[in-house]
Amino acid sequence: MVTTGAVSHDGPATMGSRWWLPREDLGRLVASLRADGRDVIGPVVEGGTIVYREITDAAALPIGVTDEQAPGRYRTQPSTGAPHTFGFASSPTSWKAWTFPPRVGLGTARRDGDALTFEQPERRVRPLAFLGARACDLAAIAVHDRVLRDGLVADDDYVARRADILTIGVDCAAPSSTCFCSSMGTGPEVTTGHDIALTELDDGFVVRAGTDAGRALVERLALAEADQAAVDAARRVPEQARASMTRSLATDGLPARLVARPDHPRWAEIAERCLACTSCTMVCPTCFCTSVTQVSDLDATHATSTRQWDSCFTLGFGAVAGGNFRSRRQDRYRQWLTHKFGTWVEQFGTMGCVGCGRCITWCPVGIDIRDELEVIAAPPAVVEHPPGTDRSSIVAASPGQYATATIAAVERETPDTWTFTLSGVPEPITGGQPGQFLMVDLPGYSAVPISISRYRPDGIQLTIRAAGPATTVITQLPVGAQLGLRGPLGRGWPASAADGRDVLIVAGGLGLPPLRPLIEQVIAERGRFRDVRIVIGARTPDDLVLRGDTAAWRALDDVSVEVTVDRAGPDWAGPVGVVTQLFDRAPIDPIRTVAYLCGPERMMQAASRVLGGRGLLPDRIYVSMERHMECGVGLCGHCQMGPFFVCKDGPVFSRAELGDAFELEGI
Amino acid sequence: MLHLMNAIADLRQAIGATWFGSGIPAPSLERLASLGRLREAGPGELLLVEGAPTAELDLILSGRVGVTEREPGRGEVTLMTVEPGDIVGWSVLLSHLPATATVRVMERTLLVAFPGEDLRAALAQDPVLSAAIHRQALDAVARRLMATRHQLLDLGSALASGLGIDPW
Repeated sequence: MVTTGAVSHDGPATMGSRWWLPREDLGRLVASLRADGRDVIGPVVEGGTIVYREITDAAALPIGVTDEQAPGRYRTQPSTGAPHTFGFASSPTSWKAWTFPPRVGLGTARRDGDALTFEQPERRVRPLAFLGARACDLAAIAVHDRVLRDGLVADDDYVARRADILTIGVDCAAPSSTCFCSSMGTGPEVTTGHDIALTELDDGFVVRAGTDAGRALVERLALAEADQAAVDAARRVPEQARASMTRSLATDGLPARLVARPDHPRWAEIAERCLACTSCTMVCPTCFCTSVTQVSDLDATHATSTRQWDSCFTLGFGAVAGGNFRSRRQDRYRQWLTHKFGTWVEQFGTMGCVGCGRCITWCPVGIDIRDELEVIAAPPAVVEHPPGTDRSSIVAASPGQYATATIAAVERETPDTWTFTLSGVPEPITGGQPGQFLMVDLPGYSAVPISISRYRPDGIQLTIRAAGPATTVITQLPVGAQLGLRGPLGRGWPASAADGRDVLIVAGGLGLPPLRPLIEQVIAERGRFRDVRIVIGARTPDDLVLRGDTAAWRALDDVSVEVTVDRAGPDWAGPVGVVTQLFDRAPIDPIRTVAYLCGPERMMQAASRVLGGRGLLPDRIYVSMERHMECGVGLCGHCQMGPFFVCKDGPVFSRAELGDAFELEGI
Repeated sequence: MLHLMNAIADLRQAIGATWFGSGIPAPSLERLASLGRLREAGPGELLLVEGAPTAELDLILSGRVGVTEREPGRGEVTLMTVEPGDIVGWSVLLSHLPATATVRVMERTLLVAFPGEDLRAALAQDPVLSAAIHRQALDAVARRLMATRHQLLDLGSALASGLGIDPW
């Protein structure tokens, strides 16, 4: 047989080897399993979903069909690339429908006069083959083994059903947006719980054996050894799948963090959205809660007991005579989530979640447990921030060196503030990042740190307030005069932190110019972000800067702009008061919002407190700090703030990075 | 809109959708709505006059009103604006306290007015409503106090910056 991916193979199958199963031979695999007396369970398309059913032929498998999943959303659709058989993420069904069916008879009871007889059913199950189990689902089966087989008392029915199942795993190549198996350490590569595992390529499958039974199957199929190119390609499949899972869950210490927050207000807030429909527990491959129902004759002489799936979300699940321990929906949601990610570990030595994402996809209101855990059991702040400019991209990096640029235009913003347009600016500076700054020098005066307030291919703008000797002289320079420049310096605003999220930009006074490049980037790349809201405050209407830009932003349909002043004259008809009043009671989604604050430190502290009170995590709030800077590259020591040099480590920091230093006097 | 929202159920929904109303339990909200009267106010209209008795608590549904003070040489100065969802006339909860500031409508405003006597009588009879209303009113007052502190600090900072302490 000559086919892509195979080389000749004469010897016996060994555990560490890789074999090649051509796509057209998948039917042989199914036939071999059936010939072995097994019912083969595999994926099929049914009712617009990919579900697991008994199959008799490989033709029933969903070749060329993929799925699209998101919180509260599921669609099947034709795949766009080469048609694959297992090119989908997860199914609303899971293998527990066969290992732990929704309804199982427990036995019968009979009353004959005063004598009672209890009989258990004989457990007769057919050998099964699971074809196409993903790593997360194999992990779920292992969780069930701990719960239902290896505990104090084993579940007879489960033990009987698990006794003879041959498992054919498949490395996941198409995780959905709701998947997070890589965070849970359960996938996407099949590493355990399989008899054989397949990695699907365009022409067929690279096969590896996990057990003697799997090796025996490979030998029966007489598969050729896979060639090195196929083995290498197969190795890349789970790597690419892992890389495509962009959402993660911080699991280190999660159980302790979660069970420590039984009073978190988020529980009540979730309960406002949760329908208690039990969908999450029904699709979950590890949920194992059940109830027993009895059906009896009218004279109660003969009764049949049936164990059936139940859910901790049902009102009666925690009920006892005279009361209910979990009468509120928030109690039931808390029970479910804290069990999955917290108390399950104490009970069974593992979490009850495998990261398959089914509960997210199939929640009718799209509750995403990753979001909820992020709020309720927020991990310790992770200090992540894009790096600042490296030395090679700084013009005149060393203090004392300066490049020159020419003032091409001057525009008065307020009685003491001007915006200068500079031409002849070296390219590394015009290619800087929003939020970076320059050291601006005029001979005879101290160099001044000034944020870049606009980038253009042919120049930049600097907005400067005449506050001291140097800035007073600089702001009096005419068009045609030159300035010395060093930069761009420091770390700027991380716009990418708000990808797919709401953006809240809060500017106070002269905090607006350093934010303008960020605002222009957000507007230019509007599709990257959800709602965009810009809130601007100033002391008086006369102190408002960049009014033309503000008016232009206001005119945009998809950007909200609000302006307030602390003190108003009779001509001002807009809001009056501190800037926080414009958003402290506005609808803000704490999970999906990233805030960028710039202005007086007190304003940023107040705004940060308000946003923290609304549930924003400290690592989603960015502030631009101002300190005495002279060198701009961390050499002179002036600008130290706790462990940071604000000039090179900042000036933009996340609130999480700064920690307590942000609120402390004298830091 | 006035016409559409005359029913108490509509009024309850409108109140409940605001920040102020969201903090009031449902049964109490029903009672509060039964006391309210929806009305529109035009620019320039005075809702409260500093020093005069406060006749009603007003919940702003849309538009904007300004809290003002008269200052010699500057005339009437707007100290702050009150945005939709917030209240003016909280002093109505304390029958002996006259209005602490003048409140003037700055742009066309839709509001729910709660007559002072009726409101105080209802609060005396309904402890749950009373606790909720006083909590929300205290929140609104605390917020204004905090905003005033920030403005004072900023005023001090503005004065300090004129002393030539900026190194640049």
